[in-house]
Amino acid sequence: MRIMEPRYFWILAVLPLVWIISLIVHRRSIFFLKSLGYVRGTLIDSQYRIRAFLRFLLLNGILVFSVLALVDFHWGLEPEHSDRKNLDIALVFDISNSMLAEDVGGSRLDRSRDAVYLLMENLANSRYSFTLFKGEPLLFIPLTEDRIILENFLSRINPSYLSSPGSNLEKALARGLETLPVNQERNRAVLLFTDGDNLEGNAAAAARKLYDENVRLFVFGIGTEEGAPIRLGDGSYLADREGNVVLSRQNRALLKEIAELTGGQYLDLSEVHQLSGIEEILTQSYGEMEERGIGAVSLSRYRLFCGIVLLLLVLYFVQGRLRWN
Amino acid sequence: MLTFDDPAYLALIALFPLLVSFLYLRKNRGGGIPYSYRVWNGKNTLYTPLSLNIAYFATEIALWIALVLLVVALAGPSLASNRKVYLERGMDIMIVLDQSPSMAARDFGAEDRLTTAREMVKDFISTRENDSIGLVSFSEEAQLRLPPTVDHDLLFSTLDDIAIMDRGDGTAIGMGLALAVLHLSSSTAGEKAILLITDGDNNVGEIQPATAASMAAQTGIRIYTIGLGTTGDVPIEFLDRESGKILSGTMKSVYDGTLLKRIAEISGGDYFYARSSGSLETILQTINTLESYEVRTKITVVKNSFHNQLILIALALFFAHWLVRRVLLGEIL
Repeated sequence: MRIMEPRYFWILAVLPLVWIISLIVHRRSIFFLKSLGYVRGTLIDSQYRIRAFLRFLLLNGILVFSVLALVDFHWGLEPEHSDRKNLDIALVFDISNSMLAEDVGGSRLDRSRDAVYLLMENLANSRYSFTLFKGEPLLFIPLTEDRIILENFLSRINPSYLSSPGSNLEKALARGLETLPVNQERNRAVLLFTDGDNLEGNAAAAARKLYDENVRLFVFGIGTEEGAPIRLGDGSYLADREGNVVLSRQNRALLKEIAELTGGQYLDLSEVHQLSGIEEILTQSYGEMEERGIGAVSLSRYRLFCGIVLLLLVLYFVQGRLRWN
Repeated sequence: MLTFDDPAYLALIALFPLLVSFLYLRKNRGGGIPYSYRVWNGKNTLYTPLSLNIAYFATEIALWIALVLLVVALAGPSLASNRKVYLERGMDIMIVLDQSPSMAARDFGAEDRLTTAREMVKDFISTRENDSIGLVSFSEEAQLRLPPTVDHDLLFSTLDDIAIMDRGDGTAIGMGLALAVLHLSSSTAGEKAILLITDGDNNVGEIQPATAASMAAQTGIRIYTIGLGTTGDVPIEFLDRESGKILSGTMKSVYDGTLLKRIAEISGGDYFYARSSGSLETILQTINTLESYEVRTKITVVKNSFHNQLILIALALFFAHWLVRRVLLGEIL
């Protein structure tokens, strides 16, 4: 099960406000009824309380189920015809300074580099584009099959290529998506290499855009959740103002979440034996689809919740018109 | 274009008259509480001002609109647009463009040779949407500006970046060609071609044009050579980026197409000579026709669903109804 638009959950934040207003309105109504002479214990009074409670439930139900419809639950798969062949791959590289941390037997950047070399060697007929990112993304190589320029560039990547601070995942994924042409009968994938440290931007929103465009996101996380110090050019380690060594940790949960949102996968590259795993994952994901000409799309279940809201709304309409007796 | 994933849900609207009759026309309708009041001076003690009636009516309508929106949302509405998709990979083309100082000669109308060539090449590119096109520029040295790519917007802006003499003074045709061949070598495209646009003779570089041409021939790349320029005295003017000065003068232009002809022959391409922008345009059109192939496309429908917006509006209308009725008007029943 996937939640495609988690941001709509924020609407639920108004619930306490709704409860408070309901309470005030309820008090006022009781006061009014009393002034009309309907004291506690009379038939009207108890009926009023039942109705008020019912209305309160309907009100909450409409809000909650609307939100459930809006966040767009997906479960189950539906077959989809697909003639797409071969892969267009957008390589999106995090080159924040933390990628220099040497906690995976060599730097994280070297590990990602090796992974891409292996992938290019083994995956035939694919085209690649190169986007590097820190706080801002920048396209360095447009989508091309030209191995010479790709490999040449790959060997030269380093954090000094960009100067914007931070690592903004949302912008990076959007830029990566832009490099993949929409008018070709090819499968498209974005491969993100990051250590997932101090990520900025709404990554889930970017992932949703990928999903809408039928582009899968595969995230390759490097680095450990325990964290590692970042070595600087002079051999010392990056430290904060008090002189404590800064540790770079991986936000694995987020990376996993956005990959799976698009139907892609997350792979931990910290382990050496996973290096060849990328190709395996890609072949698994697209191989069968290409062979059989059938892919699978996840099914949106918003209708279920939307229908419930409709029903509750009709009930809300009706309850005000029922006779009191 | 508006489409529905499941228009059957719209039939729910047919049930609305039922609801209307239940709510407004039923005999035993109404949820009022009876209480006594007296007629005073011939007037009800309870009267409803017009503004109250309007508010009541408006909130009632709001709830109905919310109902309709939810039914439409159930039907899965989306805005559909068509998208042209190429079924097969196109060919790979490398454009090898001369940027030596002589390309600044103004014998192609008001523009210099480089600008004219640039604009014509853009026209050429825009007709070949499905092809990967790359760019190499050369004068004393050759430089890969862009590997073959279908990102033609980037190609356009890269073309605009090429300025006279930012790779030195000279004409290294051999180097330019060799670089183009190198970057086409790993491509799996069925057809590959190089478009060489120059106005001069090879005079620098470690690789001879003929050698580069035979390299191309071996890898199955055709080279189309286009010679530019007139003969005689031509005015020349360009901005030298290094010194920031505009250099101008007159150049004695000589044109010799022998080398270009040979390159085309070796690689199985064609040689053309352009004396004016008109002839250059014709030449590029000719090459376009020579390198044409059957393009198979299909139209796919891209859908942008907007049911979420409808649900949001419906929710907002419902809460507006609730706030106005319960809080503002103090409805208690």
